Order: sequence, then structure tokens, then C-alpha cells
Amino acid sequence: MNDKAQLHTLEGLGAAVLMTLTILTITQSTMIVTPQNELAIDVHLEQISSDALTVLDRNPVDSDQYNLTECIASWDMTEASYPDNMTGNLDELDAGLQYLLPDTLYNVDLAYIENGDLKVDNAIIRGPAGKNSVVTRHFVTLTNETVSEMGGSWNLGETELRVVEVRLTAWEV
Amino acid sequence: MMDDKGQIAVDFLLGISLFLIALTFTVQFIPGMFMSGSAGESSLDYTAYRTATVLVEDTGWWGNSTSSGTDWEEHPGNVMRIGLAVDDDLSSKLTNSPNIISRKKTLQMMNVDKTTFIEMLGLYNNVDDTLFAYGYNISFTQDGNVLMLNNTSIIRGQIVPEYKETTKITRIVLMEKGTIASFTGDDLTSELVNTATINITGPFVENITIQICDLNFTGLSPMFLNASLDGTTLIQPSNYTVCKIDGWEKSSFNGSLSSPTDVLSFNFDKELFSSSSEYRLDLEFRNVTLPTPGPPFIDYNDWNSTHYEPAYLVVEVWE
Repeated sequence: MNDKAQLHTLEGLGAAVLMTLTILTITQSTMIVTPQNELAIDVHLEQISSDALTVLDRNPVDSDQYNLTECIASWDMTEASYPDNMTGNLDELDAGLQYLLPDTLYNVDLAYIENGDLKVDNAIIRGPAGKNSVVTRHFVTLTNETVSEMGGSWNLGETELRVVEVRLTAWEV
Repeated sequence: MMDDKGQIAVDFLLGISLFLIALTFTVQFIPGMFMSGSAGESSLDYTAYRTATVLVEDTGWWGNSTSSGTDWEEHPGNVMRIGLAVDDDLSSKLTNSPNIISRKKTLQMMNVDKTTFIEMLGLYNNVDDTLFAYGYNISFTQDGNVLMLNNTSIIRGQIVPEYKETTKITRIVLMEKGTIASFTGDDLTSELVNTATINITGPFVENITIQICDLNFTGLSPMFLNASLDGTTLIQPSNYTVCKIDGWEKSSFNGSLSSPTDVLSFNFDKELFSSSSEYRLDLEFRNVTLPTPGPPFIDYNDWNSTHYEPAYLVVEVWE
């Protein structure tokens, strides 16, 4: 048998420890990925839109404003149209976004899987998206309980969970 | 016999050395080949972005030879990183609540000395081993004004120079601001006609907020008349302010209630409840029924929860 250049038991052990330590260090440390200079303006808009969705979703349940999950749960599933019916029945969400993102226009799309097909619906249309628009995403999970509490028309089964991707396309005016 | 296990072939050694020398040569002699960003731009974008991200998404960290944790605000002498996100697990460096800002950490940030602050947040440039601190201005704002916590304006750094190029990053956060209790008209207890009575036990570290919605109207032009504490009528705006809340917007309130769905928000000065005793707060209305009789009266301290308000973190950096 040719046993040249084999990894010996001790060396193997050493290598395994090194790899494990590396993975542990990486997963335990706080990582910040800084964007490139050219993208600074886009990044700023993307960051602040992503913040808006996070803050909307973090909003405590017992506060006066509905949080993102509650807003989405209340949707009547009627797609918005421009310019007659820009926000559908998602006035609450629209008010929140307008408050948190002044001087910014946005569209909101909802993407979800229904009967095995991916559906993408326009929920809020504030205008045709500009050239420099950015997209941020946030996921919410709907249950039949939240939907019926909020009076939405999602039509979920008693134990069904539906994950909805909220896509926010934002651009500056 | 010679042991020939685990040897590197000389050919390979020669090959890889040549390759490495060539690579180093290329990198050294073609400047800008591996640099990102365009000419004329500095690393200020990175610095502003990083500073804002660390403050909003990190909990901070402290440590000494024996223990460590994310509650650096309790151990300002051993702080290793400054971050403002609230945290429920002190031993893990990660947080489940980015963008939610801790009031205590924010106040402690105001006390960190300048050198440590610049060092912790990396607000300096390293040129030939000499450190140059950047100019910076870090503040929390709300409705266009600098946010106040515990009578302190939350702003650090210098005034932004007018004739210099600066880099600015804004982040949206939820700031922890005192406590809030929300009542409906049916929750409120009443002894005197048209008057809601709430028991409040002090002291508080921040102003307290009481929100009232779904009041039952009985006649024409229902109104909020006045608030009194232990029989003394309180004065607006030095003792308290009141406004109407419509979704995310606050609007001014002149006393007259137009619809039962109006949400009233009262903000009482914390100095009113300075001792640790029970205070009786009376809110007098006109043409409003409060169906729940008292005493016992409803207790603010049983109903309250932490109050979060949206605010902006603005980080501005310049050379």
C-alpha cells in the first residue's frame, strides 16, 4: 500500500480542532460587511427601507399602530392599481411607511406560495419605479388566527401557516 | 531505509515560490488593481456606515479577566465595544432585537470619554501609524429635534462644518422611552361623574404616557376638561401635554372629542411622581360616561409596558 503524504491521526485531530475553532470564531463574532463606495447612495436608501420594514415589524403588538404582520394579515387580496386605487385597504401600512420614509416613493409587492404556485401581488403602488430604485424584503408568517382577527381575506386553513415575502421597492424623488 | 512519508516535492516548491513571487510583484507594481471605490473618495463612507450599524445592530460588549457580557452600560470601565441594541441574553454576543435602542445604553454612551468613544467606534484614520480622529456628529432625532432622555440631549461630537464634505447615514430605530399604559373607556374607573381616576405609584425615570381610546359619549360636544393630581389641577404644558394620535401621526388636541375612535395620549412629567407613594390622577371630561365604578381604581403600574417611539439615528463623519 502506498502510504506517502497521509494525514496521521494526531495531525488529523489538530486540523479538525483548527477548523472547528475557525468556524466558532466566525459564528460568534459580529460581522459587518461594508459596501463599496460607488454604491453608497443606493446602500443608504436600501438600509433605511430595510430599517423601515424592521421597525414596522418590531412595533409591539399592543401599541396603537399595527405591526407589519397585522397589516399584511388585514389585506383584502384586491390588487392595487395606479393611480385610482394606490393603497387598497392597506392604509395603515401606507401611513407607517410614509411616516418612516419621508421624501421617498415606494411600491409594495407581496409574494407567497398558493397551491404550489408562486404568486406576486401588487399591494401598494405609489408610481412607476425609477431607475435608481432598490428592493428590500421582509418575511412575515400569517396564521388563520391573525387573519381572522384582522379581518383579512387570506382564506387559510385552521393549522395552515403562510409565509409572505413583503417586497418594498423604494426610490427617492 | 529513509522515511519518505509526507514530503514536499522540490518541483512543487519551486513552482509555488515562483508563482507567489510573480503574484506579489504584480500586486505591488500595479497600484489600484485590487482597490475598490473610485478616485477622490475616501473611507468616510465606510466609517459612517460601520458606526451606524454597530450602534443600531450591536449590543456592545464588556469583559475583564473573569467575566464578560453585553451589559456594558453596567461596567463602563471594562467596555470593549459600544452598541445600543437592547438584549435579553447577556452572555450571547448576538441580539434578537436590532433597531430597538436601549435607553440605559444610550445614556451611558453619553458618559463615555472622548478618546475611548473614538477608539471603540473606529472614528479615526491610520496614516503611517499616526492616528487622526475624524470629525463626527452622532445624534438621535425625533420629529426634526434632537431626542431628550433624562433631560439630556442625545448628541455627541462637534458641530457639522458647513464647507467640508461630510458623509451622512440615517437609520430608523425604535427608542425606549419611559412607560406607557393604554386604556379603553370601559377600563377606566370613575368615582365622580365624568371623571376617570387612575392610581399611579412613583417614582419614574422618564415621563409617563397614558393612552385612552373608545370613550363612550353621552351628549353633544364631549370634551376633555382638565387633569388633577391629588386634588391639584395640573397645568399644560409644564406638568403634562396631551395630543391626538392618528396611526403614526400626532396631532394637536384642543379638548373637544370628535369621534369615539379618537386616541388621546397624555404625557405626564416624571417630576410629578417623585416620591414612592401612590398618587391619584383625575381626568375630567364632559359628556363622557365611564361605566366602571371605583374605588378600587385602576392602577397605572399594573398596566404599563415599555414605551417605544420611532426615532432616527444620524451619523455624520468628516475628515
